[in-house]
Amino acid sequence: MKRFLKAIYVLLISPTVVYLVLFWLIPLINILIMSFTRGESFILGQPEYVGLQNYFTVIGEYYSTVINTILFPLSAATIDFILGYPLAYLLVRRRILFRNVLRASLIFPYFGDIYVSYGLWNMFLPGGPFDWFFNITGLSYKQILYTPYAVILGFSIFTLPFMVLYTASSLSEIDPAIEEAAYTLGASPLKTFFKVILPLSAPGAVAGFIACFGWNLGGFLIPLLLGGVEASNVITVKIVYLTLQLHNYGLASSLAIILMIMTIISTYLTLKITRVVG
Amino acid sequence: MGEKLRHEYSQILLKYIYLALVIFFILSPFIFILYRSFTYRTYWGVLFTGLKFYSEIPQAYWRALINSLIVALLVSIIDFIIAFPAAFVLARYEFKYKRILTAILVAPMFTPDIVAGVGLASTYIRYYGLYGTFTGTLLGLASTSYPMMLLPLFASLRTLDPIYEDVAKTLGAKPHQVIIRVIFPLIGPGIFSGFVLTFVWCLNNYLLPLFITGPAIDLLAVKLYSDIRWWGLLGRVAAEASILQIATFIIVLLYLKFTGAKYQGGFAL
Repeated sequence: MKRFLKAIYVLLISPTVVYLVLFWLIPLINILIMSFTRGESFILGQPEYVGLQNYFTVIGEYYSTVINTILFPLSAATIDFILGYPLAYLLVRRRILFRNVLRASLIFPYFGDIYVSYGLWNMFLPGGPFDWFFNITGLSYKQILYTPYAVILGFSIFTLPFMVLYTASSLSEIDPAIEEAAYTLGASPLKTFFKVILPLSAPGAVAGFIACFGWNLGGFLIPLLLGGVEASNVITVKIVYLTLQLHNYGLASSLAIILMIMTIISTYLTLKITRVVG
Repeated sequence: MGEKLRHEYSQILLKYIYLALVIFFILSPFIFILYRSFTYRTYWGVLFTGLKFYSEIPQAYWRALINSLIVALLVSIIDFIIAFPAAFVLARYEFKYKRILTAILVAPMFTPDIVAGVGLASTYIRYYGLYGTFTGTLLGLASTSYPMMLLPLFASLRTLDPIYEDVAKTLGAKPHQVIIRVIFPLIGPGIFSGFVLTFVWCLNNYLLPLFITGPAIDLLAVKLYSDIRWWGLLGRVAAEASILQIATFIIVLLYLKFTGAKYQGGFAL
């Protein structure tokens, strides 16, 4: 009977695994193979293998792209931590009116990097709400809009939900009694926070930080619209440019492999900290 | 006593000021798109245009909206077919590499759309012959969105007591009757949650269709993306974006209101 049951379970899960292999694993393996071929020769059917040449091109010409791809999301994740941690604490510990509206507005950016980038872009253009700021400081809008600052701002709005979600889930596991005990024993609120709450919620906060970083690695329209010519120098934008305009799938694939490795590392760390993987 | 009360009130005030600031920070781009869709800026100031920009939206946009709704619905159904058996096995059966298998099954959600897009496009063109087809679009979109269905299904199946299935079986129900009559109604909120998440996600995804759909099928998000890139300053585009983002916001709000935290997968607060 037990063996029969096992056979049924294997039978049940196999379609999902087959689908996963066909539409997720094989495309990834294809990218890996493509990264060793020249141009679009792989897609056209006669792959020309060039060894590691594409990767050398990445190291030689696109190193600033890779550095930007790491730096922008890191800065955005830092901003998210500063803004998101108190918010998560308020959501978990305090009563709030219109809780659902707040949660909806928190989750919303996750679905719409298209609106984050388009909205921010419109806001910074002349005639937007920041005109007075540019008037007072004498800056041109181009000193904010097409620079890394705008990209980082867009990224941090886009991924704030993750920070709040992960931190809140780890904060809600802390028993409020522990906090009260700290107060009773004479700790000040500040001391309670730094000595009790922060260490206990650290796993969630770290997981949130890495998740923010990982999601922003794949952000495309935010750097494209807000970064202009210079600050849009990140891997995703380069991949789209190389594939859809230059048809250089080989080079684009080697960039995609680098992006994928970074994503796998950050995803693995997130899942490990939140204990999905042993 | 008065001192303490005042302290408490100031804390509450501080809390709401902070919340308002953060919400404003998050929502300002979205609100500004809405504002832009109703106004027109001239050299002398801002003109209120009413629904003028909404009436300028071309017919092709509405056709794309219908296409997108159909695609999103079909993708959610495919996601359910793919995810349900896997979620059932993961929730009911203990085996050695379960955690690793779970991680692998969830991994497509974390794959950047660009990487999935380049990979799927090359595989479709070279091997499957699905590039630019309707089937290819559906299966491709499902490949990165099904974990969003898997997680709430898994969460609700895990907390469901197997005793109900056993009782139904003892009373003579066939396996398919057990699934349709007993399990589906009991995990209803989980199914609903998965459907909403995948539906909204597909509705707003522009990057994957950009690679795999080709020019034959117009999807709303792709159209919006190209409009933003080439006609970004027109009020009409702001109106188009407003329609889609309001629809998304309402769906998310209803979803949070009608499903319990248990079924929201990674989105529970």
